[in-house]
Amino acid sequence: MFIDLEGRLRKPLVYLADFEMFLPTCEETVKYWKETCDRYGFIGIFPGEGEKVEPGEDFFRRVFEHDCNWMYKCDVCFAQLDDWRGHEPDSGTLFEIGYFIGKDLPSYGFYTGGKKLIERDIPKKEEDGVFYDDKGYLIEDKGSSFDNMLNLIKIADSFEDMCRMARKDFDKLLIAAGHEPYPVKEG
Amino acid sequence: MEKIKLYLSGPDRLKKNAEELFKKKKELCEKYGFELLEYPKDLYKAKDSLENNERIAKQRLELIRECDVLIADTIDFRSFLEPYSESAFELGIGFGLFKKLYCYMPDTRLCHERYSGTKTLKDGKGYVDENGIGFEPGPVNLMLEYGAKLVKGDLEDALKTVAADFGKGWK
Repeated sequence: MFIDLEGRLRKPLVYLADFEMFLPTCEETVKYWKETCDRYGFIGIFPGEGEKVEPGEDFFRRVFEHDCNWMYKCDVCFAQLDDWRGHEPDSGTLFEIGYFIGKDLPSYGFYTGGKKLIERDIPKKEEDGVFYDDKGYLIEDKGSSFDNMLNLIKIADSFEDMCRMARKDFDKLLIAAGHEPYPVKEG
Repeated sequence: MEKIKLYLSGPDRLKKNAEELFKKKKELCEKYGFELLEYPKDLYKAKDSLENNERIAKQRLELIRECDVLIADTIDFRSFLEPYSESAFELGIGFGLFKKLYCYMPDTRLCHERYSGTKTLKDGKGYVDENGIGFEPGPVNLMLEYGAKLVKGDLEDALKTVAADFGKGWK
């Protein structure tokens, strides 16, 4: 539950920004995510769901528009920030959560790597106590698991921790408005 | 007339000569009649506290709010076929703020064409890599491809495109 911009008490729609659609485990993972969202009082929306995008002319643009339509409808974003094809999160996922940040909507991410950026297994070399990658780009040592801008996202260590973090934030607002906190269901 | 304000996104800010590079880019932007918004100076530090790191990110968000046009360098970064995380993220922020969005990269062939590993055509529909993972259909992720205007080349090529689009009256 949360109080939406029109003052209504309802479950927030959560856009699940992710790279699972590329993986064979997609169905199973998304099922777990949606069930976990439900336990914490969120409605998880996988971008691929809803009306099927039919093959044909301008197919990929229509897929983009389909996903954007979900972004426009959702109240919150949960993003999968684990490495994808290297040492960076998926760019589509970042674009999507960036949209929610731009809209000043609640945005959360999860990263299961558990390491600060400087501790990650990026090939690096040291120069006067400062680390650079093999292409000469600085590896920031600023207490975060990601580069500077991604500090705008609240990041947890797992999908469930992220749900818990978001629930806590929403419950604070519910309590402040005189409501009971959401009764989280046991997993 | 007030100049169009640009925000640049990309990994060059992590280069050893980042501040010098930025000055050159600022001059280049001015050559095309644009004003390049400047990052907070603290951003260039190699080490900092998490608190400062978060503060700087918020300051940069305000710069994106202030800009008219956001141009992102989407060259592969610490990965294959994926740009710098901040580039993708900031393009998304700009998308949410209705900014004019551009990205540039030297090689705009499709992802599977740019991939140097083994790739196979699956079910006649699309290519997959040696792990069976599919590629994005375009040169970059679908969200970036259709959310922004992709320019082949470097920053100057992107600036020329922005100038041409401006000349056609988008503002």
